[in-house]
Amino acid sequence: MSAANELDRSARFKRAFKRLLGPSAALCAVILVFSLVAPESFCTVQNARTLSAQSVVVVLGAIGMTFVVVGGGIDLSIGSVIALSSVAAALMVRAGFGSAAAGFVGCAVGLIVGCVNGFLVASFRLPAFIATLGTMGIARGVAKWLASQSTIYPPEGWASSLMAKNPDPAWLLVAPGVWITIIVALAFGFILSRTVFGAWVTAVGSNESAARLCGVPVARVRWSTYALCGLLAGVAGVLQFHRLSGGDPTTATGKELEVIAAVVIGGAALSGGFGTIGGSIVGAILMAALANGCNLVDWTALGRWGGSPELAQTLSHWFGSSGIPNYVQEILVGVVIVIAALADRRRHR
Amino acid sequence: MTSPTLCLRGVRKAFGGVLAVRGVDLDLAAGEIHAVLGENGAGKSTLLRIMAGAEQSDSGSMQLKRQTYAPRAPRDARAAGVCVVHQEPAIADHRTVADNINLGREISSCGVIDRSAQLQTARMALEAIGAGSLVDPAASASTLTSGTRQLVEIARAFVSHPSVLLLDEPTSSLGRVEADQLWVAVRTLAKSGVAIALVSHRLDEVRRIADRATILRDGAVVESGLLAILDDDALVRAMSGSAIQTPTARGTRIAGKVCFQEGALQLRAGEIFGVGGLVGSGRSRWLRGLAQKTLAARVSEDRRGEGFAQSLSIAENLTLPFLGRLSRWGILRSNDQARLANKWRDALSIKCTGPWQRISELSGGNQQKVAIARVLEQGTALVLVDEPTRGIDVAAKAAIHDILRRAADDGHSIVVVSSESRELLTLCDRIAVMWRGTLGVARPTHEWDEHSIVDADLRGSGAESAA
Amino acid sequence: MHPTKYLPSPRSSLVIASLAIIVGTGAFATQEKAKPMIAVIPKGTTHEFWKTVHAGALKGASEAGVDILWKGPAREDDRDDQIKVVESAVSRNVQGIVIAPLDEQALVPSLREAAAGKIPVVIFDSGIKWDGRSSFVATDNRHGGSLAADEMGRILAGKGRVVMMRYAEGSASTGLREEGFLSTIKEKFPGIEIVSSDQYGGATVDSAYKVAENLLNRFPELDGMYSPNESTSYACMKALTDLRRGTKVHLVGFDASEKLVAGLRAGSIDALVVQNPFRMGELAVTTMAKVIRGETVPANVDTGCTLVTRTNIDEPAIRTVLEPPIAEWLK
Repeated sequence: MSAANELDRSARFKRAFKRLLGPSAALCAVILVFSLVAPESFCTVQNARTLSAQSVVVVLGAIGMTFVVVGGGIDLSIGSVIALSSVAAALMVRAGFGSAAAGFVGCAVGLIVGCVNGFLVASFRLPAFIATLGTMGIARGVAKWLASQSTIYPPEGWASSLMAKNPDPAWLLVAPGVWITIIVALAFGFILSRTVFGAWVTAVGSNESAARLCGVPVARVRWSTYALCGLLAGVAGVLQFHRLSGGDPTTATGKELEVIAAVVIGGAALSGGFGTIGGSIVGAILMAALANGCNLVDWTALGRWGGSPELAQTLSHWFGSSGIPNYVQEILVGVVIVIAALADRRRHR
Repeated sequence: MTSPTLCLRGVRKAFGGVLAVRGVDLDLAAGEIHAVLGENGAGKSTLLRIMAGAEQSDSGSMQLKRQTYAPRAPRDARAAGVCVVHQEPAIADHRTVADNINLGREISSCGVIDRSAQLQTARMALEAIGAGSLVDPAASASTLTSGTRQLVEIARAFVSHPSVLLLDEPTSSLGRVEADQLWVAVRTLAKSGVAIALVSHRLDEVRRIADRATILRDGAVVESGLLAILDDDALVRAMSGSAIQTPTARGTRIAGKVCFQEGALQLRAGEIFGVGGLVGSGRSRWLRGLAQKTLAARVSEDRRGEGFAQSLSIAENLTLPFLGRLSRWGILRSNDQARLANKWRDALSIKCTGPWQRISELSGGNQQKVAIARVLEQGTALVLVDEPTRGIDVAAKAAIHDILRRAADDGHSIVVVSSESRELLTLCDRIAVMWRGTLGVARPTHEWDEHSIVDADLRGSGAESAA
Repeated sequence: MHPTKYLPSPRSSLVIASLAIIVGTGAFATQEKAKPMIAVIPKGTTHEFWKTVHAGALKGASEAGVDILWKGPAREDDRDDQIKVVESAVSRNVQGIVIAPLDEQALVPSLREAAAGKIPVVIFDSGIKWDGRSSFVATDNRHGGSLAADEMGRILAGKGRVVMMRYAEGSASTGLREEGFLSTIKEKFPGIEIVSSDQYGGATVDSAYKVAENLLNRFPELDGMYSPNESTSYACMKALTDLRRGTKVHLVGFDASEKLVAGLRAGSIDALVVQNPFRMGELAVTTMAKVIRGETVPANVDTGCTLVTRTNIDEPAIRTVLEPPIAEWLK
């Protein structure tokens, strides 16, 4: 037996890979279907840039949420934290600070809320669902209070180009914010899968008492996952601020559920102990692609691209419009979540 | 001889091409306690699950009171009068004992539960199984001990007037006194005409309670008959396929330097120190306290609950306490993890497909080997092991005893907590018995025998000094 | 695992309780009791538009000698929340309710209850399918939509491809603006093709922005865009600038805000149909004051709307509409 076989390096990643297979196949299927139905609008460089920029916020949230979920917890406050940090960054810019300082403060605000979450869950042993439900309300309220209940539009600085879909310089191809997200994703994917901290998070989520028996600092690990999630929500909030050029205290309402859905679609177990950054990102992009694609479909164009004009007409008649109405998109996302949960169930049997 | 209550003919079951049960014939007679013995993986549990309706056989037939019996779900089995008492009792903690006993067959009128009637039924059932003085039917189930939980399960079975009762290692988490109470209840049921099947690892208890035994090996019946005519050696030989050397007591050795001292208690390098006592006497708590005081590595008695992260691999579980050693700047070297797992796999002959196999796929004995490997690798001089061989078959038991002895020879100081007096006597150099939270005097093994250990379990060994 | 592990410790309960008290006491400000109290319930509180309405309502209140209670739902599509606001206004015994209903139907039962309890109701901004109201104070939205269509036809010289983004399902006022636009284009400008009119931007800028981006990608050859309110207009303007399509695609929007006016001056927007929210707030409150005093009021009060372009933006009449004295009334 060769040394490589003896260490059986591949077996370890096979499991994770198998889990990634389902969501990736689903994403490919979605992309394929929309490419067929709306080739002239979906399959373009411009739309790829748009889609990547639209995914950024949920992807960043999903990275943080993966840590929390793998560690056996949940964070409902993520949407509110995104709004709070975007308002904080906008206020800083309006007060005359530079974009860097504003971004720093936005991230710091996220980190602070994350630390509070971690403190409530790890030190006071509140159930994560309740503790973060509380901070969700608090963060949203504070965001509205700071912003005097309206969107803050400060003058635009250099950082506004962070989310420009046609970046300058052009060789960046996609918005700088997308590159930031990619770097964050690679870094945190590495942390979760290859470091001691990642192994601890997984162990705590899989079996807390076993981890404690082995001397893992359970409370500190748990606390760190929430702090990390808050920090990434802060980064997402700053990018959301630059994307909208304004700090909107009502933005990202309900985003927490979208983020949790992305993590679940990506194959993580809500009971903890398993999940990959890659899977969660695929889940987030899958949902963004569904929303994006549904806006782009035009049945009348189907005739032009080789489909039968009769079919196009039937579809237009059926949906009562030339495109896909918004409710169809909601149904599709729901169906994907249910399928992901069913797949997870099958794996555990 | 009257015809048996439940009879199995040629029952066969395969899982993914592997035959778990290959053509088993079994007769359970009314009023008889029938032990089903075998090593782990011999097919005992599968057979039990088929009888209980949790699995369906691929071929073969079952007859219950001369009628064809083919349960498709546990519910069918229960309706036909076949009840199961599981290793882990299914008790709803937030309800009263009476509620639990009547669970699923509530006494009600117009949908309103008749509490006093339920209480009455529960009291009668508990008295009938001889547990009337031990369990208060009006108390909350959360106040039950692990022993009395089993009794409540039996009472629940009694209420449904079963014709067959299946017991799956009911005493694995019980101490001697609780086990005896359970056996009283089981006997009462047998006397009332119930056919009882018992799966167990403990030869001594089987000998005390059962009338007849059937021994399985690799899914087939290798021996069946009255226990009166089967001796221990025959049983072991039938289970393992070869005669197992009964481990001889370890000769008392000259121990090394003192690793831990508190009061009169001294733990020395190179010796195995045994702690006996009943479940609930405070043994596990004492061990946990010792682990905290000395930072010694500990093997938990509860492999599922506290022992392993079930969703992780062998290597990940094995290396969890010392990941720092296997990393540089926080980045794990997974090859080193695998290498370490392989080293212990070879040293302790752990049966697995590779270091990254999920721990939950291993048998209990192999999981226990991983747990012991983990504490030995931690490298602390003092190693604490709680119930090293609970729920483990005879062959694996011998292997684990051997591993612990070798570890002591290598200079570790080992503390073993066990409910089995024979295990303490064969494995340890010195033994002390825990009684009501205090540890009795430690004496060399040759000063103890089974009788004196049981006596100390029940009444203390006098002059409890080394707490 | 022991269940008490999950119970909060006494210490943490204390923290939560004190937090609740702090938040609770801050929420209820004291108020004078002398003047009649009118509840003014907007569709939302975060949009610029509603701030202006608020200022106008305050001016109307001081003119008519009444007090107003300004409270709206947190989001512009939370009907349930708006119903709760109405119900709490009723239980606070206000003398009148002035409301911009989020939905033509959903608010009817709770308003009917209010009217049954002798609380008069004035509807403003958006219509409702209920005849128990005392008066309807609003922009003629259909007219506003056709003003936008006329301007679009003029800019494109009667020929081109146009996208109309819708606002949110069930919103009556924007629905009329959309219909007015569509019917006028159809009647007067047969050369203009509406290539999409079935996509809803939704209640937040974030969602509208995504839809705008997607629509622009879907139609690489586009000449015009029409959006029926402030949030969709801002989203369209931002998407056009981002995707560098502003020079090719002409945008006619609805409503005004600081950012939209700046966009108009900069050329990102070609024209805005502007309501007079300040006047709307003022008229809604003074009409209600009249109802309370027992005077007769007209069933419909039009608050007017104006087309603002780069050429007329600095005319004094337009300036007062665009820059109402908000600061004077809202501190």
